[in-house]
Amino acid sequence: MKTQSRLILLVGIAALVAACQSPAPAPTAAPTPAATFAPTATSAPTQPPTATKPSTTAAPTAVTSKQGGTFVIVAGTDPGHLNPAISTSGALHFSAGSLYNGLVALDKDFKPQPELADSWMITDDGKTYTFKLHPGVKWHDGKPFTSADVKFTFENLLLKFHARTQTGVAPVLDKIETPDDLTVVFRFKTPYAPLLQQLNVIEAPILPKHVYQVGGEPQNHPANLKPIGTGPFKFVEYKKGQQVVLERNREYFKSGLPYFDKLIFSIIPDTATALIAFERGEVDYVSVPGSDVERISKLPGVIVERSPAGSGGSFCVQTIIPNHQRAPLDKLPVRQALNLAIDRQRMVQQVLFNQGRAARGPMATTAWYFDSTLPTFEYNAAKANQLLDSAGLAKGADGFRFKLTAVFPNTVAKMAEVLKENFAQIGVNVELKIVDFNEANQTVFIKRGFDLGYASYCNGPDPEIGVRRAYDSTNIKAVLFSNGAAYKNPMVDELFARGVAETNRVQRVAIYAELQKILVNDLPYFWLYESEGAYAHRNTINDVRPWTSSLAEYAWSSK
Amino acid sequence: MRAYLVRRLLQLAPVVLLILAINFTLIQLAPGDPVLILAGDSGNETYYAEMRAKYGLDRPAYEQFARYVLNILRGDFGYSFRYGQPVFAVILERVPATLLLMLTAQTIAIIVGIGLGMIAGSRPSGNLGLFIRTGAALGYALPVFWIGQLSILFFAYQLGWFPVYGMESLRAGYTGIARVFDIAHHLALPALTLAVVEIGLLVRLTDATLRDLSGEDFARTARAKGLRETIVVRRHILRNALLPVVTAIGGQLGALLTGAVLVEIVFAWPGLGRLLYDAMLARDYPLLMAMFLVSAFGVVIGNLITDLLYTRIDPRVRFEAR
Amino acid sequence: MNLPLEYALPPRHWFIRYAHQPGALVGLGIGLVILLIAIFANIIAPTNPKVTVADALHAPSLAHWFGADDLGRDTFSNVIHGTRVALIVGLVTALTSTLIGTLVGLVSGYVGGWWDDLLMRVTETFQMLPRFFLALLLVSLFGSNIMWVALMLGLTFWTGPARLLRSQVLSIKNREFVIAARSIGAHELAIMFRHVLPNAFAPVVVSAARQIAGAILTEAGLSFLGLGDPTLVSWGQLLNNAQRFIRTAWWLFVFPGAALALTILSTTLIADGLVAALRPQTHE
Repeated sequence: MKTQSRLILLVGIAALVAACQSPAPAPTAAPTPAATFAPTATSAPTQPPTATKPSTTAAPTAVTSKQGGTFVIVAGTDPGHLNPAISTSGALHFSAGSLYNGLVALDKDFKPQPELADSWMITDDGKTYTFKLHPGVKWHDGKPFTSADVKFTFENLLLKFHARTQTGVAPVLDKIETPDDLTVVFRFKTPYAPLLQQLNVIEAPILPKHVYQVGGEPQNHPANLKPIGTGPFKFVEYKKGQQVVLERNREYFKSGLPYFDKLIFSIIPDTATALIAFERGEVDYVSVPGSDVERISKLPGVIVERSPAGSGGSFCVQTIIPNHQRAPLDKLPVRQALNLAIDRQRMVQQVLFNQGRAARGPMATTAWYFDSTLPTFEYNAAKANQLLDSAGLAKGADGFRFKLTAVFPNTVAKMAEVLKENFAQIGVNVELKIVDFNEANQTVFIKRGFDLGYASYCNGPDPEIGVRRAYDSTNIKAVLFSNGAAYKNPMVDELFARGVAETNRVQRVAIYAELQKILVNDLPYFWLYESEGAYAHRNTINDVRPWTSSLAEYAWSSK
Repeated sequence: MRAYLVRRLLQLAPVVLLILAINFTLIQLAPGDPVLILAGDSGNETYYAEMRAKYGLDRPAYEQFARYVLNILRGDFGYSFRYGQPVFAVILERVPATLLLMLTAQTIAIIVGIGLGMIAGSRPSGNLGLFIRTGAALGYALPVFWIGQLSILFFAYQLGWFPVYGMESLRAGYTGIARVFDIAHHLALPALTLAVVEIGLLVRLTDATLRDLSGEDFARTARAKGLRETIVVRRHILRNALLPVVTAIGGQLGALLTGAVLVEIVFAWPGLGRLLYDAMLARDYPLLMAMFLVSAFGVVIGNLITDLLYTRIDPRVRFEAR
Repeated sequence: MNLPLEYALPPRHWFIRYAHQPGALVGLGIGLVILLIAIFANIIAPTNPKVTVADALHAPSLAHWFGADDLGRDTFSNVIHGTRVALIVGLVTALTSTLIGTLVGLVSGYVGGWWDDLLMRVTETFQMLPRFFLALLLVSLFGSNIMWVALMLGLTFWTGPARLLRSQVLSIKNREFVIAARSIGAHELAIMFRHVLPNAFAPVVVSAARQIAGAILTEAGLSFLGLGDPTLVSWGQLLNNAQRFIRTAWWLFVFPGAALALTILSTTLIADGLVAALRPQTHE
């Protein structure tokens, strides 16, 4: 049982870090094709069942009364194709998630629940996972689902093309074995705890071997546009730039589910148009930008739900990245001054329209590992000016002490303007380069041509991957959402290493508390705020679960 | 005439190669990296390298270009990064929506625009002419997305006369003649929005040219013969006035395929403009190159039609087939 | 080749003919006001357009005539400062494109033959460049410099005037008065600039005005797509920002829209006036 408890903790090291999901390329605010949603709950991922009983998702008795109807969901961006195993695109998973299943599902608190796998067993050394598959599952074309599909999907698709699985699982996986049709065994080279967090339909959707083993390259496979899954909904049609239509899978293995006859993902790139379509009743479910939340929530018969997740990740902290490789950002007093000059309250009010809160440190205030004793950041331009004066950075003839080039994606243009105004108050001239998301990431993380960058670092359910990557000095490399500041502190590196090894949860929280105190003093980054997403639907639609990426599996209409 | 056509088509080859080279260079120069988009939010150096190799992006630029041109000669335009389909399949799927929108808008604009332009042009002074000219100037003056959103707000939201967005009613699933009407219903607002701008342009052009020509000697002669002004305009001036108007319309043909990005986005119309815009944001190089080529052919054909129309309208224009 | 520009203008008193048109005068009046506003924007605007001076989404009031945006910045000051960018974009683009377009169109149409072929191929090549992508690229490469953007827009806009002028020249060059001029032994260049160009120029003037409008509207369209420079104080950016508040803060899209419409209206009226004033007087 000793190994067991260690395992339990390590399970928390979830790789479910859908960090900084690329916002959908829409002209206005990203319409949030959220792949992973953080729950409000601050509890840690608790004990996964080492050998759960097959929990047949008991269908509610009044099934028939819930059955029927069409659910029209606004998608801001065209998915492109519908193969979720070879892409991490949020826009793709938003609709494709309803077609497939993972071995496990994750509930609102990120606890693994049986899905294609009824139960699982983890050896004491943490190196071998044995999954028992649900019997009688059929693909949409009627063929039976077996362990061969799982092995094939991992070996030929996920481990090669799914960026997160490729990065997270591939280096440590030894082999996958299929002793019989309903058993899959994952063998790892070293103990690997986060696996159960990486097996849901977002991280590891299972695709049919009989379809994908023939017919061409996975990226260009015809089935990507005529997908066959095991999921609650079956594919009907995909008209690019227009809609994805799915229909109820009558033979879904979770009996009784789903309820809607038809699911339509309607692609509306313009946010203003999408909201008007929602108000006119042409669509049922829409992402609402902060500026409209108040107005929309006052509409009769409309429910606005908030999610602490930002644009597509969980426990995300929107962060300014100062480049420590460039003077004077390498100096602590300068960073302290800049941090003091940021008016976070104003950003929350005017940029987020109060759909979020000011950040208090590197870790999200809603995460279980957040240290609540941390003070809130002070906004004090006078003090900041003093700091810069005493640092010897006097104002020049033009009233500026120095210039900083900020490379930000156009999704945060408003924040950029507030920041520029804030820094101008202390004599720091910010030259804004507002570019598209792709170019901003390339400039900051790959080419490193910036003084100030921006990222939404999504912490995920465990600090190990979502937080550590931004601070660990071994992660200063040309990779997206790595340690972009190029921050080096051996003490921090060591504490992260101790944190992941610590089996006692209380001790572990203490380690992260210490880490947070160091980081808040060192200010390697400027943590701005944590935004919340808002979603509107009619009050006749119930039980939408956007955090699963199979958002309509349980949804029903009471109209 | 045939010799002229043959000559024009022969001249195309080097132009197309030049266009390909320029577009390729533009894409190479442009910031951004498709591999980072393929990687989503994650990935590592290994993943980047594998993807680069997979799509041939690790080769030197000239080699990529040579391969591209050779493949085109074999009729292979490559696969879209984003859609995982041959690029022409992706493009063809979107052509009907764009053609429907653009041709409807153009037809409305040509009829209304030239009509109003003639009215205004034959009344150089007077309130009606002034009214039309002012209206045309205003119609041309406002950003198309602005008019689009206002018309959605007013005609779709407030009055409820038209659907808000898209090309078809999603829930209803109409078929047959009902579907035709449904699409026409959806088409009305975006087509009118596009037409407003075009009308403004055509009214002004027709008007300006008409007024310009009414001072010409052939018009004076006609008037001197005692012909009524309407007949002077209809028989003598109009034919001449059409020349610049035809040029303007011909120039629009090239933009036909990609020109409606803004309207397509505002009305969520599933056409080529949005495809181009999405391809640009996704750095979908094969798709971008092919779309540039398609729009280039649009321009060529538009110009050809314009030139041919000249000979019909104005007998003074002759092509020297050398 | 260096003929004085006056050669191209009709002989006498074209400005008097211009002044006889009330619409043209109104257009010129508005245009001058806009020009003055652009020059003295710093003095006229009550506040710095990029600095917060009011509550977020402040409705129009005596203190802030046009209200304030979501960051509490004075819309009136923004609209005033926006004239600068509009005029730079409009004028630089139109000048560049008309200059290039006129030369190409004139030579192509008048000289004809081999030159025509060559120039028309070049024109076609330029027409085929994806203008929107080019704009995105240039904004990325050259950043916020609006002069660059305007110049580059001009470099992609000239194909219109070139083709327009060519078609005019084609229909004019074989007319009686040209043949007459040639028969009395006038120099070809003189014929080109003195007889052909003035008679073919009217539609190009209209097109130049249209390009001022086109350039300003292109900037607005790029901004709408989020491809413009959000740090620029331009009407396009204001309208782009306003569309998020189309239901809640009407003042954000009405005033920049009106300013834009007025500017375009003014250029239009001026162009119309010029067309009438510059009408060929060859037979007087």
